[in-house]
Amino acid sequence: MREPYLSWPEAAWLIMQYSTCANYLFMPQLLYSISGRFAWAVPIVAIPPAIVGAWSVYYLHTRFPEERLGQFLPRLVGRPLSIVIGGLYTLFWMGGALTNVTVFAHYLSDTKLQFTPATVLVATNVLVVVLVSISGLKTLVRVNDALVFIVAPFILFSWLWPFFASRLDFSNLAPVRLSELASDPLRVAVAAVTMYHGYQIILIAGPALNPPGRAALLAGAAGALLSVPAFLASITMPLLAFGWPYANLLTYPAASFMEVVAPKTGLFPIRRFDFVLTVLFRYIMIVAAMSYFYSAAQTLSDLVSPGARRMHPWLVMALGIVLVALSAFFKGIRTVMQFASVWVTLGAGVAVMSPLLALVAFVRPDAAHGR
Amino acid sequence: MRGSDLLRRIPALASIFLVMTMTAGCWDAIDIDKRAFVSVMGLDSADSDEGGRIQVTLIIPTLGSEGGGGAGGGGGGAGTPETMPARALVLEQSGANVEEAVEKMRAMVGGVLDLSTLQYVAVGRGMNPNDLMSSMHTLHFTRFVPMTPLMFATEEKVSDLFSVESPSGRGLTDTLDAIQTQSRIGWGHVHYPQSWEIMILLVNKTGDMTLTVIDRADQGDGLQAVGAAVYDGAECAGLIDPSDALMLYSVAYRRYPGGSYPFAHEGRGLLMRVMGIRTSVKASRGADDAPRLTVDMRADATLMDSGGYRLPLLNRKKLDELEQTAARDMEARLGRLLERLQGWNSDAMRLYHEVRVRMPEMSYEDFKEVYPRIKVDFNVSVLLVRTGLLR
Repeated sequence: MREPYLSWPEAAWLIMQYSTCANYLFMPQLLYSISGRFAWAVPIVAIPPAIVGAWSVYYLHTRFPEERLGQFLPRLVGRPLSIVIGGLYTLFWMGGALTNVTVFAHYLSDTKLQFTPATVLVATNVLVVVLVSISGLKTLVRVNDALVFIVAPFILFSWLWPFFASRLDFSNLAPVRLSELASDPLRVAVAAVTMYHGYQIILIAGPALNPPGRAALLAGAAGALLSVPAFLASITMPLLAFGWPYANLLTYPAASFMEVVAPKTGLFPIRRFDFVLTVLFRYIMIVAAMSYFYSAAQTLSDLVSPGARRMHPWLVMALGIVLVALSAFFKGIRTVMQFASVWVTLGAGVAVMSPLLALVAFVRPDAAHGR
Repeated sequence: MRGSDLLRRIPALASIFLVMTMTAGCWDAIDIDKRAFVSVMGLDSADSDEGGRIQVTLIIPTLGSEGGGGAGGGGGGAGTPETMPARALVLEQSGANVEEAVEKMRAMVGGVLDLSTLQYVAVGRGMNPNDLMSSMHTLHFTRFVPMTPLMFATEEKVSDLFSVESPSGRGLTDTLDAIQTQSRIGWGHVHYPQSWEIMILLVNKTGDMTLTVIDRADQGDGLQAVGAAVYDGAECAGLIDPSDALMLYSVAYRRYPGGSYPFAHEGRGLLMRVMGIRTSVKASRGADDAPRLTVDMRADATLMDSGGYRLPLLNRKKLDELEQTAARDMEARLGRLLERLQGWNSDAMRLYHEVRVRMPEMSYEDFKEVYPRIKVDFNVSVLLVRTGLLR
């Protein structure tokens, strides 16, 4: 194991973008379909489960500080179960990577690059994802670090500017009806449990944390809490600007919101601030896809060969090809959204699994000493 | 170990090479000279026996010599010599919907019709409400055009309006821009809402829309704003004059940059420039469960014409008097305007926007039933300051 290189603020930023990333392109629609105009409450309801999840992952990290999920799972739950549980995590992460690279490809294909087939856009995204994954976790972390200086100011601007642009109408949230939030409690619960899932990356990046231990909890909690304003902005601001039910009719409400509140500029043809933001969000989405993809590939590699120093590059490339092939099944944003609904349910399963694994680790103190 | 490094480097290098060549994502790129950038779209109901047909008119600015363009009008491109009039191609087609009409036009231009640069959408006054709804839905949900083009109405056939040639050589979009800019330092009766704002009203039903009316004129650049068209849903209900339009926009948008407002005091004509208006609308439950509304308006204004009064610097007595007169005049105008709107059953003041919060059980349709009878109290206050070298 090389010198740990991941500080807790870096890990928190990684967790934050991992949680939010391209979610702004499909989470608003998903939550509007579940909770109507009261969807903005879901990011708040989701905070307690996120803290529980972050704590569970932290506990697992303290028990297995130098191991990743795929390495400690066999000793914790046995070989057969480790394949099932590891497979569940891998599926979730692959699904996250697939959703990320695909939803953005469709968005670009629908708007800015209308003559480029979505599969080509997916392939370019996957190429970058594969390249960084082959280079390793440290490269992923450093790419993510670099983004904070480029993207964060623009994101902050896109959140703060609307308050000065006289486009927000808070009365659009009214009338507040609790019945809307509770109309489908199971789906609300599933969405809330899944929402801040970024802390799961500690299960992969935990051994790189410097210092280990408490840093995992700090990063998990800070990352989840930083994600709250990001989700609130992408879900609430379209409602504030467009009102109900118009916001629910838009294909990409959060992206459309940026378009209508963007300051007017005279640049032609790249004359809109939302275009710049789209490019920057594409970077975030790619880093998020990298995190998902890397987590899936690493877990798969660890399950097959727990002692391997690095995952095999051809495995990474093969998974990349699988990702592009799978994306071809999506025939538009509608099918991506249908898949996202299933993926969110999968995420809830993973989110529930982490506390269960922590519980098993608690009742089986001998598991950590079986290497 | 060396072999393992090589195994990593080959795919990494291959990925870098592919990433370098492909990250832009361009595919079948179309050069700028092969694109026909649309700047203005006009919507009309076509006079057709087939019925339900929408007539779409597009303006595509072109750069070229006098003989190189099509009809006049349209926006001039940056860098066009001042001596060269802005040229534009005006295309007109009808179809069952906007999509079909635009498809027909594709064959008429030598490149790709690019609607991402759309700046204005004009609505013919005679446009059928169903056609308008259908067109707006097409623009917003089935074809990628920006959500931000500015909208206006015309009492004429849109294609006739688009064929106006400006004596100064100015393009249509430049003239429309100038009309709004001048309005802010003039009568203040011009406001172009963005198309997404219109969609909000049509879909969310929180009020009715108002569109500035632009018609042909014999003087100036060939176009002028003659007032505003108020709508009941998607149906044009009536036309109001410029002074009423200023007051209507001030209530409908709650915050408005203002314009010039004439009023009379003791038989003398005065003029004030409103620098900004803020309006708050409060709704409460009135008798018979009908809403009761109060509109509080605050206008900051400067006196442009003293009407011959002496206005000393340190004594505000006369200004206070004029403030009161102007405020009462505005209240009376608002009252008369509301009566007209109620007669047309048009909630162009967007009063329901507040009612829906206070009385959530009342739907827009319910509100429209009681709207002609509801009482609204208008309270206007004016802060008037003297400006310039008044006597």
